[in-house]
Amino acid sequence: MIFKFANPLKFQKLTDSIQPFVSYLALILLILGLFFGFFMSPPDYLQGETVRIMYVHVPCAWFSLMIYSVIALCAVFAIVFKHTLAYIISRACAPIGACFTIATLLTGSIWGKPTWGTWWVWDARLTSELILLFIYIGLMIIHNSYDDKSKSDRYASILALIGVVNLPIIKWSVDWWNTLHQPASISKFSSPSIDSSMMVPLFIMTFSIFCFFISILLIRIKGEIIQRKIDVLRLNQLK
Amino acid sequence: MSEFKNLFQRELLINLKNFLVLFTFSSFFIISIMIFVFAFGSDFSAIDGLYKPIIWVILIFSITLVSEHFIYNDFFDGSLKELEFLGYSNELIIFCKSFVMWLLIIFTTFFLVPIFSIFFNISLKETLFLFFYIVFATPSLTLISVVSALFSIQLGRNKIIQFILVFPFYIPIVIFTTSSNNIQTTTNSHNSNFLILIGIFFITLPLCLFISRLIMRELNR
Amino acid sequence: MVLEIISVCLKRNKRVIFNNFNLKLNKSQIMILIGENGAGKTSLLDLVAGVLEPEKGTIKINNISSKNLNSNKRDMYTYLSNKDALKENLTIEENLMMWSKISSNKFIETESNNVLDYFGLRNLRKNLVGNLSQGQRKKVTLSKLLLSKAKLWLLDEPFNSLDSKSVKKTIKLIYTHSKNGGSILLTNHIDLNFRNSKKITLVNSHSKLKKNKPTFHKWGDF
Repeated sequence: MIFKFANPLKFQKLTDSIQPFVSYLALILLILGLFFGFFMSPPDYLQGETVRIMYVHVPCAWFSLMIYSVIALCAVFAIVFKHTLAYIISRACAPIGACFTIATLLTGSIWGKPTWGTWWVWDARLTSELILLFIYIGLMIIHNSYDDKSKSDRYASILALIGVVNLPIIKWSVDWWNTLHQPASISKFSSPSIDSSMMVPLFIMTFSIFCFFISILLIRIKGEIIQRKIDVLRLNQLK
Repeated sequence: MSEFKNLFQRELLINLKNFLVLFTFSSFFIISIMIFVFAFGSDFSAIDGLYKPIIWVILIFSITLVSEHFIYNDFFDGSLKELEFLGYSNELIIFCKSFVMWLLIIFTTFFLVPIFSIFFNISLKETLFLFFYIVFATPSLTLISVVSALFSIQLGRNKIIQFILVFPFYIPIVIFTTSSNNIQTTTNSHNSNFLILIGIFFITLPLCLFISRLIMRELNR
Repeated sequence: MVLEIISVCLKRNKRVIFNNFNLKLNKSQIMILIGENGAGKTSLLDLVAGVLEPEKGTIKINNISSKNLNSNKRDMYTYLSNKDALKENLTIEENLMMWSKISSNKFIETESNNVLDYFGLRNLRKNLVGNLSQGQRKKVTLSKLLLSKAKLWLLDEPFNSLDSKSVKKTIKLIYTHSKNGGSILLTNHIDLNFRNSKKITLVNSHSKLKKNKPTFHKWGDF
């Protein structure tokens, strides 16, 4: 698949054509999802109206993990094949993932105040999510701390590889430890413990955030490609 | 095996002759204890329950401080490169370094923990447990700090960045050590909670060796 | 053939350093690499020693590909790199002893006097390397050659910061080694006159690159 876009110019054209479509889709799905979430779904019998924050919190949490796995996959690909696109994607992903992680932590603590009574507890899920944020920040620091971009890319991919350890810990922390955080409601192997009237807006929101992620990613990749082009041209000017 | 022996003897010779290694570690340790004691003031009843987090904070910082002696000096005088082109594998080099570093740390803490326990009024039994946990937790901490030192060689010796990068990976070890240490001392039962530390060590060992191999390849490019 | 470099390509920091580079080194041959700064003299020695890996091409030492050399590497060549790899808090004697241990050469007490005498380091043997001058440190590094049994010597600027008397001694050392059937690959930025030697001039790659401008049609251009 990658080799189809082996030509960067073709890749850029492709991103240009996809990007507006994806961002409009994200906007439409967001309006739809929020409408369903606020007006068409019932309040929870235990948590009341506060449960509606789930429609933002849960997709953000999923994507904070998913973006990290994208970065990790790119890191493996970059270390093995040394392909520039993998470096570019992982560099473009890191700040987006950090933002989703911050959003998860913020909405989580807003949700936690009425249900648990505190903004923050040092619980396994929350702590491991916070560690994920720190790993994202570390990646961003490495990306910006070398003069030579190729060097910083290689070091960042090594760090991204170490951080993978954290992903399963976040995913299964609610099962491994007795935590305050509720266990996963939706899983592949069993029937979901959530009603379909809540599931529909949740999935619409998830797709909306997915489209949002893709559109931001494409913009950032484009910017990164242009930046690199400028760097190479400058370097050649010097010689 | 003879390769391991040669490298081990080399590291031991260099670092025992280098007075600074042991000096940095022990002086940092004692100074931080002093600062904590003074910061608590005369209210000594508050210290009793807090000695465990304090000793782990001190240990992590001092191990990170010492790790640079093992990596930086070798990198900047070219002996890291020399070991590589003499045909020693990167994993073996890093393993020997961390092993010797661990030995030196254990050797110093053997003398420092009693001082610590005097300052903080810890009973003999708890001191023994503390030392026991230090012995089992420091291998992973050492390996992680060696990796962090390798990372920071090209970061312009920036200590803060080095620490931000690796501190997420210290957290699980600290959590498990303090929790199992707490269980051991409070319930007084001789359960094998320390086994989880050995488990963590066997996860960190291959991971750190693999990562340090990747970084050492980058260093030469 | 002691050393054979076949069509090696190497890129460092997006700069092409070697493009289809070939080199052959015979038994008892002295080869001198000359070139400006950044022409890739040290990179070439690093390639031979296996510190750097070429993108393409093969390097053979004693007709064995360098990828298949592992621990027997250290018996085949002695490489003195641009950094001296001496430990400042050890004495000269300890440094040499340690080096011969890790490079699987022997440092015998009785013979050590001859080794140290060659560059006049016998009286300094108990001195810490940290207290020595730059030239004396270089002499300690060069003494490693007297200890080594390897046939191939890779020397990175061996005459730096040496006085003229020691330069002559080093040249004599190199000649006797080549007479005994060893071969030497050395870099030097000053043009020294060596008898019976072959000179190779490496060209700085900046001039080569100017011709082909990046078109950004490939990901590798970025």
